[in-house]
Amino acid sequence: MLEFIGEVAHQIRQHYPELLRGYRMTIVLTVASFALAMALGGILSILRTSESWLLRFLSGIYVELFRNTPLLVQLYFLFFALPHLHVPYFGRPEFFLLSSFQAGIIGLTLYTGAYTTEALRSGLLSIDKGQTEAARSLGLTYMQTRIFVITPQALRVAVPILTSIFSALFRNSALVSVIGVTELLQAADNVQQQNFQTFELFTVAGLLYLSLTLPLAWLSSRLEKRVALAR
Amino acid sequence: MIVELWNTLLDLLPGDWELFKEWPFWRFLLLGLWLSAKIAGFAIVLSLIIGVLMSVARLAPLRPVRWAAATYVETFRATPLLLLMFFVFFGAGRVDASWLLNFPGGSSVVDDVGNLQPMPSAIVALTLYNSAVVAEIMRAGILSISRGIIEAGRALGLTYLQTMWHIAIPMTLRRMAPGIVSQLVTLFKDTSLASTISIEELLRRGRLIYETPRYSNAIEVLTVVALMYFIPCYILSLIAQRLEQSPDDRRGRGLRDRFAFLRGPRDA
Repeated sequence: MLEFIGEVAHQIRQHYPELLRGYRMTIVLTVASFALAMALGGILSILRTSESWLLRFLSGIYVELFRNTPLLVQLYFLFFALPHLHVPYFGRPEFFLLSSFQAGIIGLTLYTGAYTTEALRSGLLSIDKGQTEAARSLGLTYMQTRIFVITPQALRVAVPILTSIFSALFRNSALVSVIGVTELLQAADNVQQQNFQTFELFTVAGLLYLSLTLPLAWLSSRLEKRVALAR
Repeated sequence: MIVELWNTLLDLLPGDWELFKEWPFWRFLLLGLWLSAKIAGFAIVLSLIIGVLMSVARLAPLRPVRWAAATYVETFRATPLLLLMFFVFFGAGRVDASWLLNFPGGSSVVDDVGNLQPMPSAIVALTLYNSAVVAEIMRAGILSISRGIIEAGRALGLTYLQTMWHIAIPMTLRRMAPGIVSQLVTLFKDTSLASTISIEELLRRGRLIYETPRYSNAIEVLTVVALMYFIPCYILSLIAQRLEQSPDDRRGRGLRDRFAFLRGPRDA
């Protein structure tokens, strides 16, 4: 056991530059796609609760499609299949040829976006109808009511779900290694393929992931308590 | 007749669907789906058992037991599943598991040298992660049961474990059924990760087809693969939604509610 810990420490000393680069990439991927997914979820959750059945239907199809297929399939689709896609009148546009980083960000955003949409929708639905009526009678337009009155309250309701989506996103970001983004897992894998210290390197990667996700879990439970108190 | 209809339908679709006019390709993919389902089935059963045990251990009156269970749950819940899979699969070479060969059926779990086979590795990894999640769901459920019920059990002379086994767990399982079923959706989707450790389940079989230069129709194959994941997952999420409604709500609801995504806000 002691020998193993020494070996792990040795690997960290030897390879920390690569591993830290991967660590940074994991953080960048997660934060960027969470921001994008929140924006996407914000828009789509409003469509999801709109009065037009067509908008509700279309956004519903998006949510169910992306929530019920594996992220891995979506990533493969974006990275391997999209360049083959032949669009009528356009042919094969060049921007369909995504780099692995772009495909990773887009894939994570679309997948997480489906979850944030549902989280925000349940938040929106939990707000009392009286709030809308009060705002409308004060002279705000429909969109103003939605954005300035309902959404802030809905966000507060959705906080517990959103934090768990965020930590799931951290874990899901490991999947983009299969399309060749050098994030933490891929960085550990690259080193491992050279020196065959498989167990040690994956232990290091695991510890680095825990160093992100455990504080996050603690922070989110504090945030949830604060939100619950404020309500 | 049906075959002809199907073929003309495929001809109408844009793209190259020639492959899917032939049964062998469907068979190839469906066998992959069956393997995915088998992995998911084993992982579900194991993670339910371990998850329930862990949730009971996390609330146990003994401090060391509580800590051990908390460490297990917090660690595996916070680690990426892909990492766990690599860890179990590649790390299995370090552990000699040849003693398993003495048991009947042991040769399907470990190979001749005592290394874990890919299938069991995937099941173990999925179980580690999902049992931690199930334990969290169950713990929340047990805590949400009113204290009086558990205290009543204790007052009647049941031990802690008896109270849990006869009272708390059955109640919680029923109450937390929606959460557990939607976790099953995640579990089934996550079986696709097993393709990275050389198991020929659905996704890997799809890749095997479209990576053959003669076919190389990634869009069509991946669409079919995605649909094969989508259908069981969607059915499971509909079940979860249905379980979430109270029994009173459920009565007298028809087909309309089965297509729940069509439904808008209840009070808009």
